[in-house]
Amino acid sequence: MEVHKINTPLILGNKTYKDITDDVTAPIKNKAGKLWWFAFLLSFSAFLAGVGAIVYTISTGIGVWGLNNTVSWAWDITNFVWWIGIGHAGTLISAVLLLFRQKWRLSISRSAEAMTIFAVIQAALFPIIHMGRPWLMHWMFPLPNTYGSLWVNFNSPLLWDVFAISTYFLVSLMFWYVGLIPDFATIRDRAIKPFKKHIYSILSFGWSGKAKHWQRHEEVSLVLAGIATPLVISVHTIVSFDFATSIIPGWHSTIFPPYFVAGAIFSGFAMVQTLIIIMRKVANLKNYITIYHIQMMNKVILVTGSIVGLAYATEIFMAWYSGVELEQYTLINRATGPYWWAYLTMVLFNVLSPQLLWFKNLRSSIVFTFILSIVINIGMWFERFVIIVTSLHRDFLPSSWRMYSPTYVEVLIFIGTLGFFFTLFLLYARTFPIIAQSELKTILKEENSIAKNKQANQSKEIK
Amino acid sequence: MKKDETYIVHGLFNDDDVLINSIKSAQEKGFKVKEVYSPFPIHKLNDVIGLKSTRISYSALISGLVGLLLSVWMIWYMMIFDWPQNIGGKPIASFIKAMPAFVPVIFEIIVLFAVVFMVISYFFKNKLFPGNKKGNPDVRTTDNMFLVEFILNNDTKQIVELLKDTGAVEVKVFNVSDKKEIKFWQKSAEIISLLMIAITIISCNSNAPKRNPADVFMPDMYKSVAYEPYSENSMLKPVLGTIKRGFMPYEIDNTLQGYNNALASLKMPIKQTAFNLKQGKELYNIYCISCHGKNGDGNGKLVLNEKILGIPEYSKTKLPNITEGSIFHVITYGKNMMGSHSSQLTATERWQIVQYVLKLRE
Amino acid sequence: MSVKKYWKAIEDLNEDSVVMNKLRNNEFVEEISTEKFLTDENLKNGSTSRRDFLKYVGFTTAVASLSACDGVVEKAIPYVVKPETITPGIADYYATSIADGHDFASVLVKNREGRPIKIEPNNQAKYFGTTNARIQASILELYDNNRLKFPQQSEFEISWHDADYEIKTALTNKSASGKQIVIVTSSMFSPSTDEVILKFKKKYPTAKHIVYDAVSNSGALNAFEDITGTRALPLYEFDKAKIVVSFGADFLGNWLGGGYEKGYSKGRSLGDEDKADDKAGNKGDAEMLQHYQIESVMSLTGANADFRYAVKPSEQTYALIKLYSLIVGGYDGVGNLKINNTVIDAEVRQMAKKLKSAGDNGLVVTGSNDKNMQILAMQINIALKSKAMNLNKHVHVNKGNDKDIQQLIIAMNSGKVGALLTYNVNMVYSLANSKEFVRGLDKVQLKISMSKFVDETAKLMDFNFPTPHSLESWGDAMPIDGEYALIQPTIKPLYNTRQFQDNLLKWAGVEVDYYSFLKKFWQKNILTKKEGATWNKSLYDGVFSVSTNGNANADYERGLLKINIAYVVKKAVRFWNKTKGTELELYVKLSMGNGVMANNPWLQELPDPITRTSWDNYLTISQKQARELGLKNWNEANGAMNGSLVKLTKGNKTVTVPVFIQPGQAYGSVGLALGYGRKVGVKSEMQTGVNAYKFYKNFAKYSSNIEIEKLEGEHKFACVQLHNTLMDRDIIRETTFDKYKNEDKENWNPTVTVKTEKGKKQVAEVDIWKSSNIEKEAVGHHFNLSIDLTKCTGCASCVVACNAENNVAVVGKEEVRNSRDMHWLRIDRYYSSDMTKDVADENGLSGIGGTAEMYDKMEIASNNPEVVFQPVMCQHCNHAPCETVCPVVATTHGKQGQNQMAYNRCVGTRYCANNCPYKVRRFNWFQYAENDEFDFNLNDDVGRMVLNPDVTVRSRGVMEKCSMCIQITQAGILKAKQEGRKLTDADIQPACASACSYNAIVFGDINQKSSAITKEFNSDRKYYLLEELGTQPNLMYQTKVRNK
Repeated sequence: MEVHKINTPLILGNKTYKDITDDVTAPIKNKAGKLWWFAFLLSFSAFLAGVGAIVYTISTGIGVWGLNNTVSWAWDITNFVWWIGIGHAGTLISAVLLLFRQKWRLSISRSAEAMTIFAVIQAALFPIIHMGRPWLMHWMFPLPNTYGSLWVNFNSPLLWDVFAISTYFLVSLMFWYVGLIPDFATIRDRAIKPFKKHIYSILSFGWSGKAKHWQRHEEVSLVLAGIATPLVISVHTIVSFDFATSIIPGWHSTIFPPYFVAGAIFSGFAMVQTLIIIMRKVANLKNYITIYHIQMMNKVILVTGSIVGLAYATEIFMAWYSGVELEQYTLINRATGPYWWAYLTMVLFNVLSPQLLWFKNLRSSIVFTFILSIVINIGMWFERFVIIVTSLHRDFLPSSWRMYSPTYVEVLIFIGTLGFFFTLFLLYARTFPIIAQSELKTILKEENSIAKNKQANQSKEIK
Repeated sequence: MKKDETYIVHGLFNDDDVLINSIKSAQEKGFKVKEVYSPFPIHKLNDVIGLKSTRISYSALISGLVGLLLSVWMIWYMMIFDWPQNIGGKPIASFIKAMPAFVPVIFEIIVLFAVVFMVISYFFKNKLFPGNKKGNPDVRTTDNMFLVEFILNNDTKQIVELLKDTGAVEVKVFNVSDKKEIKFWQKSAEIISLLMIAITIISCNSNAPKRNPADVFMPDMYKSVAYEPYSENSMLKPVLGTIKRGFMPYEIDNTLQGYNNALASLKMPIKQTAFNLKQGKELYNIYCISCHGKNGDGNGKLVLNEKILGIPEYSKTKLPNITEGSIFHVITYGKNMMGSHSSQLTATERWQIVQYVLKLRE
Repeated sequence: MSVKKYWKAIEDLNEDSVVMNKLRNNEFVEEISTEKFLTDENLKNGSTSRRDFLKYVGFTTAVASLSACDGVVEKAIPYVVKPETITPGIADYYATSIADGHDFASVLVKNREGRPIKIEPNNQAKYFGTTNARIQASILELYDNNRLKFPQQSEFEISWHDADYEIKTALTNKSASGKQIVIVTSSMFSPSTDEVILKFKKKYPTAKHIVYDAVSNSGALNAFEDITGTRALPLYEFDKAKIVVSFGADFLGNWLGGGYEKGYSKGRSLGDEDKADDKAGNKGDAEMLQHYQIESVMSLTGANADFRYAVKPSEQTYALIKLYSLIVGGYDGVGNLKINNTVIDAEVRQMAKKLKSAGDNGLVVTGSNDKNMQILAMQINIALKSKAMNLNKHVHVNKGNDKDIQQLIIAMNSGKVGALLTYNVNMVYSLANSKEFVRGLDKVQLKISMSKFVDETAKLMDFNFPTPHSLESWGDAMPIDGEYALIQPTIKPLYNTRQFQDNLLKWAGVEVDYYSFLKKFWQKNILTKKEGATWNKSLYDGVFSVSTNGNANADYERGLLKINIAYVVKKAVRFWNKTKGTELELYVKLSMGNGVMANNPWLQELPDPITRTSWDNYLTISQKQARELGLKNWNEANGAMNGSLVKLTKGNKTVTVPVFIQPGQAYGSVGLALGYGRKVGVKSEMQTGVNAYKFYKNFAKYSSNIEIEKLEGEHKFACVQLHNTLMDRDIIRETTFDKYKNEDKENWNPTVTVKTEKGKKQVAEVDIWKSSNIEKEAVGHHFNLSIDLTKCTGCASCVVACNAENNVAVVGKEEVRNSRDMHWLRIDRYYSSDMTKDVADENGLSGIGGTAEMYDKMEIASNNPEVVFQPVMCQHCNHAPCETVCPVVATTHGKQGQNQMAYNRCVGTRYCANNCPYKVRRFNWFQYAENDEFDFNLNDDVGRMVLNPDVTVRSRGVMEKCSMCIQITQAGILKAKQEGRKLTDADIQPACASACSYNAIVFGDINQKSSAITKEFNSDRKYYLLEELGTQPNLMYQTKVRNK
């Protein structure tokens, strides 16, 4: 902390409170640029294509996907886990970093949380549409039903998922919203058009900014952070239970919970990088999202990426150490079997590529970071694909060993969720306060003085 | 200025440190700060204006505990009590033994309860809800301005000057003694009662008995693809002359000659046993009694009620010319008013009845 | 007087309304006529692809189902007069027989509300009381919507009355003019039909009856005739043999009419079949038939042999001659042939030695349709005095005479034939020289076809008369001397059909229906042979046997002397003397048979037990030859198998056929299945494969000088098993008879242990739940099922039986390619591989690279592999991994041991299928019932009649699997309760167990000590599949024993 106080201010440009308000509300006040419209139309049409594919799937049957009797899950659950993983970074940034009093989280937490919510929406889509009879999805909840006293099965990891994801979604939403209320109030108070004012006044719940309210606000934020931290870990742990509690070699592994959580943070941070690098450019937030921020996140990526690599190595070690032949075969088959390319992609993208972040100039390069963040997300998608498909396609009885390849419907649905995600994010970027400005204002003075000191030091050095 | 009037004094600052200094000096003068509006939380301020620490986090603790109890009860009720089922051979009789599998859900419910109720109570306490128009007194307090509010019953001059001296950008004085406030609880009471009425109306429309078939949501397997018994087109007759397993056709024809044939030569294939007799009696009491009467005297319920007439009494004296063969023949094919009973009774059952009838004849 | 007027609409009040006038004049609402709709050219031009179609179907279904939320009102309609024999909801059983010219079986037919829904074997029958896959599936043929539904003259409907008149006149004319009237039928061994034909011949003296079998056994029939003077087959009784040497005889498949399953099973039953106590140490007198198979195509029989030699057909001939010379002796060779040079010389010597020492316990059989080969084999048996070949009981299931057919074709071409009546034969399709036949057909004036379908032959005839299915007919049969069987209808004819016999009687001017004729005939000629026999009792039993002595005292050895062996051998060898190039063997698949049932989707989708491929025939080729010719089988990205195409040429006949690389195929030979390539009268989905009858010249099963040329392009197979080897895993336990008999159980069926930090432990010891489990309670019933891998031959009749009992959907070739077959019961087939862990150790393959290489090599099957079959269905685990993971409790464990599926509750997450280590769960990827896209039996009103109303037809999005036939066990329990007695095994036999001709599947209640399953449960051979997982299945397997 002390070091960074001297060296790197989190807010550049010697901003005032008013500057912050102006900068943050600028995208809402101004008209959307061509780039935004282009991106929006692109993602919205992807979204529509996805909706079409989903309607087609539900109306015709899961058979339009490439699944078969042996590989009954593939892209659907891969995408589910991938999106859920991406979602994790948001909560982690705002909750865990809040507990650790990491101030650099402030400029990015809002967007990261938004990303969480949008990603969880995508994730939650897959368990629903992958069902054979999605119109009966309400049966997944413990509701009284026509079968008398037939309830749900609390032994099933899928049911745990239902609870975990809905809890996670609600908690993230509340966390996000509680933080948004004061910022909505700011927009409300600056809005000129009556319609806008009306909307934001509804959204801001009549926030007034009284001292007592602020006190409660801070308390609630802290407690929420405290609760969200174990929650975020529990959610991906539970997602990993889908596999870890089963008996399929390659799934049945006690290392999965930490491995999945690390992977989730890893991919989540990568996605945050992708988004904020674009956003800082488009919304002109270079003074708030600085190279320092990006470097810090790259460090997290490096750490979690190394944990993921360690997890892969542990899997291999355990397969050898346990002496279980089926486990060994699964691992060998992953690397040398028909899906070797997926495994190779996974290792290259997830384990080797983040190691480049040891170099400081790569770590602070925006272009490199951007590319790497995409590479990591591809790699993490393949990780889930490898876990799900290569474990299933060759399990116990060689007679039922099969192969899997996706159909265009599955691909379209995945593209559709990407479209949906970016559609939501683009809408968010134009209508929501994209930086937690009220929180950011609390550190403005301190950061300004750091910036001044730094300047002074620099000029001293020059002299 | 009148003595009993109430004045609100707003002092606007553009720096939080200045604001705090100003408040401090006002407090030294004995003024009590009513409220401070700021665009962001100012930690030092809480001590300065003497805010007690909030207890909102307790609501999380309490509702979390409620969630714990509720989820444990729910899972126990559903898995152990209401319909325990053998799922994968896991223990079904004991919550404790089966509990490891329930931990994730219990944990999630605790978190959900804690968060939801804490946030709700936060909204409640801060009077935050959609549609609440009452915001801050000055729009700039969500931007870069800090506003301190005093409520005074008397002279406001002193405080106005003090604020100005300590760096206030702007000072305003309002006379608010006429204003009426609608209390928050009044508004919420309205909403709640509306909700209650709505719920009552919705829930009224149920328990009446329905005459139409139940509604089916997505009737996936509601109607059998296979032809079911008693459905149209499914009821075929067997081909004449075929013989199924467990059934031997009665080979004597339904003619007068056949009757005589049976009378003369048909003999009982089953043994005279107490069991057969008992069965015969039971069957007789089901199928025959209503016409032939309890004792075979032709005085059954239907005869007594004059629905059917002319049932003979088959005691040895009244009907001497019947044999076991002819009785069986008549039960099988019917005679005169009597219909065939072959589809209701198997051959063995008919013979059992014959045994009982023979006993009644004595 | 006032005239009341009712008006229907406001418009009605307007007297001049055009609309109302029009409506008034048209009493009925005009609908678009179907014809008009179908002939709309625009519709034809529209391109509606499969996916589009699915889309529309799906959307409309979704919309319809969403809007159709109101419950459906279903009316219950009872019988007005209830038939004495029918109780709605209760199944009845009728004893009858299925005789379709290719197969024969005495069966019990399960009926519901007057319609048959399932075929089961008639255990009362001494012979032919077994049902193979085709017999099981023949019930679906009854409900085939493609059947001919009314009599036709040149494709137009005609009444029976008119037809009879015309035909009678024409026949009288022909007979008067001295022209031949020829009746061609498939093999019929019905005494009453012979009588009917006699009557017909009496009326028309120029009439002649010719028997034609598409797949001929003339060779054996002629050989037997040469030896005994009677044209029939000897009765082979495999249970009486101790050593069987088979030269290409697929006697577990289609050899000589089939029906040898029971005998073989008895012979292979390890001698403990009838012993109550099957404990270790009491195996001293255990005996087991030893089976040698010398063949070119891998047949089911070869796959089950103890020793199998892949030898091409020509070498088989030499080997048989060699064996003859070694056993009968006195013969060393002929001409240039040095018979000492057979490729399996040492092995043949070994066999001869064994056969000699076995004496009358030995049996030699051959599958060749060459008379001389059959003579040689029969002679060896006679020389051995084999008990297993009964020359005195004659078998009549095959009667076809190749010579007669060839003469008929000549006669037709020369214009001597005035009328041709065919019944149940499809000569245009199945004759190798079908072109000549068609040419001759032009010269026949009166052509009458009597058939169930308008097939290739019927299409060319003047009159097409529909005949009823076996299950709609009356009839009788005498498959074996003194063994009679009756056929009674189990349903009223569905269509306007008339039996062959009725037709002949009518045309012969005998005014009596065939039923009365049959009954009278039996009462006069057959029932008199036995004291106290009645028609009703025989019909009740379905079978009737009379003890006959036959001609037991005949001395065939002397008769044999008349046969010139040197000449026989010369003839046998001559065929091969000019042999060059590749040799072709034509074989018959268990599923398709001779091709009459090509329109049967159950059979089309039934995977071949050996190749595990459905919906096709193909050229089987050895691995080595495929490599030489650059032929390949490969998998697409989704695993679907593709193969190269070749041009197969023999003389002037060619065909384009896909190749299937078959381990165990003799190098230098190829195999092709008959019965495929039907085009006429068969739905487009089922027009699969190529017609191999083209190459069936002179009914020779083998031919030589085959040329194979690789073509461009590829063929799409529907193969359900992509992986053929065991990967050295402990899935199938196998031992030798010697070990089984003499060694401790732990040596050949060791207890499964799990490695733990505290050393090896038994599975039960590492279970986290101690013995407090409810499934251990011995209260009530607890059902278990045992599968004996020694007895199971992989014949797949259980698969079809399961289809029929449980309404399992047919999904079509495309979906099978997508690995979405629905069979609840599959029969895994594994080949041995040259690479094992021991071999890897020897070769020093270790480390990650070495292990990877080892696994790579393990995937390749040996050139002549040992084959094992393993039926796998739901294992009904007590600790089922699938149950735990279902979020909605759609699958739970029943108190009687079943793993139950509540279809209604299933939402289709498929987690259970993923977590099932046996991969036995099947998912409804689409709506398979009542969906035009899957145009099989579930999609038409007639086809749906076969459905078992006790089993729900699963809808889209629902998981399904083997239920251990819970509908049967529940009905059985109820029945026993109603009758106030204890449950017996017979009450509760699931479809697979009752269909198993080999008694390999045993089912029962392990809480009943008297149950047959108890013995299996306590058997030393018992093991559980993947026991180390701790799933505690209720299914057990019995270690396979090979007599080596």
